[in-house]
Amino acid sequence: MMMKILLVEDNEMNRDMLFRRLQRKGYDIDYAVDGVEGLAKAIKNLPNLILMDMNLPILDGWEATRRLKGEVTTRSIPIIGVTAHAMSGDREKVLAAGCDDYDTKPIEFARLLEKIQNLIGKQV
Amino acid sequence: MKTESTIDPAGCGVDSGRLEYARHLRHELRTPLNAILGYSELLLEIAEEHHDTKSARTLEDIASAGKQIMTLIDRLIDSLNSSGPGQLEAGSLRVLEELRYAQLNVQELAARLRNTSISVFECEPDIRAIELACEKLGAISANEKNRLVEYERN
Repeated sequence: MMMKILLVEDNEMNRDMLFRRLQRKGYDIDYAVDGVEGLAKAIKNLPNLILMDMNLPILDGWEATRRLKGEVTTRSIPIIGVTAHAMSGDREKVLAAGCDDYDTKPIEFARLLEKIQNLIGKQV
Repeated sequence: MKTESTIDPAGCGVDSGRLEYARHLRHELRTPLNAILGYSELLLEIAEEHHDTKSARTLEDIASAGKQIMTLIDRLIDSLNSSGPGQLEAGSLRVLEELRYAQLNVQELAARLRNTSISVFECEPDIRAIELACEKLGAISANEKNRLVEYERN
C-alpha cells in the first residue's frame, strides 16, 4: 500500500519540487497551500504523515500543528515541521508545538527521507 | 514578524530588531535557495537515469554553487547579527555583492542546461523554475543592498 503524505507548503516552487521528488520515491502525495487547507485535508484524508511548513498564510504551521495534535482523529499522525529560519532554539520550538520531527530549508532530501521513513515505520 | 520592507535599522536601533530582521532575511533567502537546490537534485536524478553525463556535470556545478550561496547567506546573517547599533553595514554589503555574483553564476549554468540532452526530457519547466528562483534570490539581494546603501546615506 502506498503511504500517503500531506505536504503543506505555500511556496509554489518548493511545493511542486518536493511533491515530485517524494512522488518519485513512491509516496502518494496530497498538498495544501495554507494551514486551514492543511487542517481540513488532514482531518478528511488521514494521511500517514504530514510535512508542515511552519511559516504559512491564513493559519500558520504552529497553530495547525497544535490543532491537529489536539484532535483525537489526527493526533497520532506524525508531523515533520519545516522552517527556513534555522536559528538556534527553532528545533525546540517546533517540537514544543507538537511536531514529531523537524527539518530546515534548504532541505537535504536524503535526510528528510530518513526522517519520513523512521516516523512512518514507527506508525506501521 | 516584520514585513519584507521594514529593515529600518535606524528605527529598530536595538539588537532585538536587528535579530528579527536577520531572521526574516534568512527565511526570505533560504526559500528560493531551497527551490534551486531541490530542482537541481531532481534534474540530476533524471539525468543520471538517462545516463546524461553532460547535464549531470552542469547540475553538480549548480548544486555546488547553491552550497556556496548557502555559505554566503550564513555569512550575511552573521555579519548583520554581529554589527552593533549605528555601525555601517559594509560587511553585509560585500556579502550581498558576492551573493549576486553567485546567483548569476547559477542562472548561467541553468541556461546552459538548455543545450544539453536533459532539455528534451520534459524538464524545461524545471530549468525555468531554477532560473525563476535565481531571479527571486537576485531581487531580494539587490533590494536589501539598496536598503542598506540608503541607510548608510542617511
